[in-house]
Amino acid sequence: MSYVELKDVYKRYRMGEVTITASNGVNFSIEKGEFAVIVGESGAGKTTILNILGGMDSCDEGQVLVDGKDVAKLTPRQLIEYRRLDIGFVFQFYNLVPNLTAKENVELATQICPGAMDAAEVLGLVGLGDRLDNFPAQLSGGEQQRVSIARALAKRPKLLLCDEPTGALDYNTGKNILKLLQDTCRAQQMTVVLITHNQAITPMADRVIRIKNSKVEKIRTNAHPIPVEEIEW
Amino acid sequence: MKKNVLFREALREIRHSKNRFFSILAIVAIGSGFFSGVKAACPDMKLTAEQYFTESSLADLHLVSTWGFDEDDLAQIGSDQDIRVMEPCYTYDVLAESADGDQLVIKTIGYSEDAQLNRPRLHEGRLPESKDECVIGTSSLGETHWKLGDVVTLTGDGEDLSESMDTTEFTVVGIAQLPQYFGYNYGTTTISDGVLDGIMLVPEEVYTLDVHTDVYLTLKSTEGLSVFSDEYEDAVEQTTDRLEDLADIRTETRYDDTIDEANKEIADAEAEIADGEKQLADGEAELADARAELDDGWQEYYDGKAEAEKEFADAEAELADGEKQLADGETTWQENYDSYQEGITQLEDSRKQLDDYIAQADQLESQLNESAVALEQGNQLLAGLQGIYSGFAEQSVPDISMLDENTSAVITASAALDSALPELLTGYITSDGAAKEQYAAGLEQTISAAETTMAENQVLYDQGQDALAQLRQGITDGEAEYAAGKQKLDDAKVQLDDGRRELDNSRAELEQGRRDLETARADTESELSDAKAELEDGEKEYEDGLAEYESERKDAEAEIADARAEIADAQEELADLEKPKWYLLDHASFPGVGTIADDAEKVDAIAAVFPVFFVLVAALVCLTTMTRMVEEERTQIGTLKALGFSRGAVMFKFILYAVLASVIGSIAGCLLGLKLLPYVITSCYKAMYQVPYTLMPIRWGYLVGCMVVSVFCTSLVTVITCYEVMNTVPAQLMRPKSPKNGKRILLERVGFFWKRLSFSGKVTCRNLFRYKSRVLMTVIGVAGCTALMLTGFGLRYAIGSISERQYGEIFTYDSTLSLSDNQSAEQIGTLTDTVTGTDGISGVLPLTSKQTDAVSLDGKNTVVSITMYIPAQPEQLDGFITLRERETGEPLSLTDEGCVITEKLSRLLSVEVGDSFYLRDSNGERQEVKVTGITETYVSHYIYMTPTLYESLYREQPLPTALLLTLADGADEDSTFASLLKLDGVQGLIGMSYYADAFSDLVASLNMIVWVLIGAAAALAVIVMYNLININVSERVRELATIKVLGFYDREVSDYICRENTAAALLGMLVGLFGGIALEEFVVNTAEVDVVLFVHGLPVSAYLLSAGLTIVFILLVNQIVHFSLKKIDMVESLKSVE
Repeated sequence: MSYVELKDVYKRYRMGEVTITASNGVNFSIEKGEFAVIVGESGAGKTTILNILGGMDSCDEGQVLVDGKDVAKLTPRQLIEYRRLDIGFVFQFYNLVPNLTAKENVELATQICPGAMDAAEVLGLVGLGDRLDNFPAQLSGGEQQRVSIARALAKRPKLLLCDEPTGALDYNTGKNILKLLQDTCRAQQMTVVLITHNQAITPMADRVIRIKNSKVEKIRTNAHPIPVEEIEW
Repeated sequence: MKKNVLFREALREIRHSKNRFFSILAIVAIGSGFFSGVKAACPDMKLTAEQYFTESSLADLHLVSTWGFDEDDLAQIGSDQDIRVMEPCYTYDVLAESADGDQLVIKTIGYSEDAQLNRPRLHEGRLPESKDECVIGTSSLGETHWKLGDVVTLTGDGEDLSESMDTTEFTVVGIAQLPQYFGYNYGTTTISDGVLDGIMLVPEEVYTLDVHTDVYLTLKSTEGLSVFSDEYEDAVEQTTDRLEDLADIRTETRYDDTIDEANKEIADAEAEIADGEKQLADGEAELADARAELDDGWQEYYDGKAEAEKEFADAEAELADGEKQLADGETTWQENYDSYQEGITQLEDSRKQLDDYIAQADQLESQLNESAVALEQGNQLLAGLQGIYSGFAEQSVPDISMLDENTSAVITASAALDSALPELLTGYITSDGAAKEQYAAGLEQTISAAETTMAENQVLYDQGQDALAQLRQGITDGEAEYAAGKQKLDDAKVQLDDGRRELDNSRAELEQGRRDLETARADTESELSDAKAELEDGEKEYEDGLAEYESERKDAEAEIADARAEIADAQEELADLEKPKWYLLDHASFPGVGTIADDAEKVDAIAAVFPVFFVLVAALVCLTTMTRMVEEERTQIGTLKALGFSRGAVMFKFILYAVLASVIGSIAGCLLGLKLLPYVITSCYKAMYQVPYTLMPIRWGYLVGCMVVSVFCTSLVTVITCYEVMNTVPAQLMRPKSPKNGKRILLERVGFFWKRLSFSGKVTCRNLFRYKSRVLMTVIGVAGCTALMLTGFGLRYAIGSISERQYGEIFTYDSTLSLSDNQSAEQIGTLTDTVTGTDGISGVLPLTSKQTDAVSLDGKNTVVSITMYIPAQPEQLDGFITLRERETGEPLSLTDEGCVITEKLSRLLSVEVGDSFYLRDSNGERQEVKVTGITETYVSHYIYMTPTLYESLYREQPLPTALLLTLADGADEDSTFASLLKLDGVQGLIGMSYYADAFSDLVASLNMIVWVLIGAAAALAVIVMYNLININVSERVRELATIKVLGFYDREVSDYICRENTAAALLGMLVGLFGGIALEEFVVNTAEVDVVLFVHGLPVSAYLLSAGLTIVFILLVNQIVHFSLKKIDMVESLKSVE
């Protein structure tokens, strides 16, 4: 059995009289330690899948198995715990708390998670060992995203979920961030799920899941993923 | 048209942000409601009072004269140009026993159905219809002492009430309030303890007074004027001035008239006394004559009586002699008679002896004759025998039968000589030989013996013959002797009979004499007794006359003495006669009427502070809310601007939003406030004023004012907030406003503190400093909330603990026993001892209590009516009344140097220790006294001084008027009091609890104001905090979504936000606790009435309660926030950047 497995997941939103189906029978699985990329157009339903996978949203039908646990069946409280202990999130807009320093932003996560890594150490890992006491406003976008990644990693999550982590970054910075994620995946055997609309970066993934019209259009595994540095777009 | 779209958009905006709209609306409502409500309380109270006064035709002036008003007085008053209605009436102060048995001082007021002024307002029952019905008047305290149907018996205070009233028993038929008794007391009186406990309306007809005691007036010049206006005061003053002039004239006239009349009366009385004395002297002389006459009569009587008695005594003595002689005669006669009788007896004895002797002699003679025969026969027999003996000496005859007849007869007869003879003879005859000899011997012997005997008999016979002869001789002698005796006796008998006759004659004579004497005596005695009776009659007549005279004299003397005393009194009185005095009393002297305006204005003063505060908070809340709203709408504003809308059109939405909230809020708030707060505040004052109802008109002016101000404020705030945005170019507006950058706070430099702070603590601290304006707002709001509550609790404590302090700590005695008037010092001393010895009483202190005025020495001449307490033993005062400095708690002691005064009095007179002030008594006499100490006291004004000081001031010894009592632990109050009340000279007994209870109502009504304050405070705190947190949340929704995604539990998420709020609120609470002290002090000072010193300073409980309730409100808001945070949708919030 795969580490992550989605089986016939449906998600519908009711907007007044209109029902929008965001996930229409999604099925895929990801193995432990894989770097998976979910790729698709805007509005194809990528983020919905990520939200369901990350316990931020619930699905209407289907099973979401993570490390053998059906996330779809968790109570709200269990969902919070799931997010708290098993999931690391990296957002497009970093979502750092502006009033907290880099280190404090990481601590925000570590203080609620037993067995978390040391904040300073993690920031060191993402290359911000000398920026611990800087506020987000004092950091560049890439640096902020690194803090965001550090915050996600510090919890030693089972899954690292990244929603367009490079969306707000310039090319090189974005590349560096992707490299960081890829390195982390390799170095720490971390299962990473990354959402992007950028087809170009799919070669770096172990597994590519293409979404279209709220459905999985195609799943492809790369036997030999290419390091990010070698990818150009 | 575009406006229409914008309008619709604005309304939609309101719908979408109900919370925000409502918070502005609510804060405006609370602000304007509180402001208008409190502000209206004063005019509403005045309006209500005025309405009530008008409705019940409250008099403008109340005239009282110490001499009452006679017809002339009334005519003169009535002729004043300004009099609208003049109503003379009767009042009389009396004593009555309440249904509970308390002795009360009651003012009876004459009620007439036709009376136009001071119309009673019935609470229960009806007005009096017959002469024995009454209506009980109420005070604001509502205590009536009686209920409908009770029978009230009135008594005078040491005087006969019948001189003033012809009915003293009344049935209570109604309970009513009188407009002139609008307050909580009834004023003072001159009887008993000087304080009226109640009023009573009785039919006017029951009074038998010569003059009216009171006059009530309404004035033409005051018609239509508000009683609280200056014009009214001026109008009343003008008339008062005129009436004062009239009073001077009238009192002078009546004084002179009275003096003249009194002098004339004195002269008349003196003439009468002289007459009476002359009559008495005449009577006395008459009686003396009668006495002399009687005494002569008695003398005569006693002389005559003595003489008669002497005469009778002589005659009596004579009679006694006669009787004695008679008795002697009788005795002698009796003796003679006795010896005569004895002689007879002797004679009869001699006769009998003689007869005996004769019989003896006869018998002896016959015996001698017989003996002679016998001797003969014996001698023949003997001769026969000797013949036989000798005849048969040699012969024998064998048979006797052969013997001759002689011999045989001798033999047979011999037996008479000796029984053995016949045999012997027979033997002797028949025998022979020896046998014959033998018989012969025997015979011989027997014959010799017989011969001897015969001889002897012969001798005896002879002797008998001699004796007989002698006897015969004796008889003959005796007979002669007897005859002589008999002769002698017969002579004596004749003599005796003569003596007897003589004796009887003299007895008869004596008896006649005695009878004569008795007759004479009886005659004399009857004569004497007649004389005596006559004399006695005279005597009795005299006695009667005397008695009559005596009693008449006593009466006359008493009358004269009375008349003299009366004259003396009258003269003394005339000497001391005080001129009559008229008191012209305006509303200031009507209990409650004069002070309600001042008290209402006190509310106004409080009203000035609170609403300002609320308005400030409301404005601040509006400011933050609108700022946030404008910020949220940044993009839209930019878009609209870019689309080419004018500034006004763009701002229209925000201004409409603010104006709508303000208009609705202010209208709702004002309506609620105007209807609720005046009612609540008036209710609080119901303990002090008899407000029959509360008029609460909707004061449109206030409403409009509030509306205008709030609309203006909110619009201004909106314009200001929009102003910056309006001046920003659309392009910039359409980009999201970069969030405020985080930065280090000063606190982080304090390393040791910062390091110790938990992570969340650090976050909170930094956030607090990040949103300074909101923190400030929270602090202000919560501080206001806490301060309001502290003020509320403080106010309640200030008044609520008066009772406990005053009657628990200062007045530590348990009850006051008031003494009846006019008792001597000795009587009081005895009573004091009796009370001291009563079971359950542990301490007694005699005390002189006196009502008087204190006047300040400074230019202001402040007059305060006070009670003087002069303890008989100043050194013992401590066990009954605590004299101590309030702040230091240092005990004070009384000295002869000066007096100790109560704190509030010292403030009113502005005197300190060492200063002096005047004591002014009812005659206007002034005594300057020095203050040696200022003591803690909360209710009423007291001056304590030693008896020595009192004596030096007033030149008289203070006589105790009351006894202060302390009860022993565990003593039964009721039974102890009951036994004390039975003692003579005790007028009444009031336990401390009575006074303590009087305050409980006041405190109860205060609780309501505390609730209002707490309610307002709660509303303030909740709305401010909720509003601010809402703003905070909406601004930081991404941050919150993020931490939710990070896996913060709901509780942790709300804590993340609420910790900041809580910290700010707690800070606000601290500020409020400090600020509240000042606010409370201000409110307490403003609300304090003259007669009471509020307890200053706040108890720990007030702080704890205010803090505790603030915390409750904080938690409440946090809980509300918690639920709203739960609803935040992570996905939506994080979806995109605006």
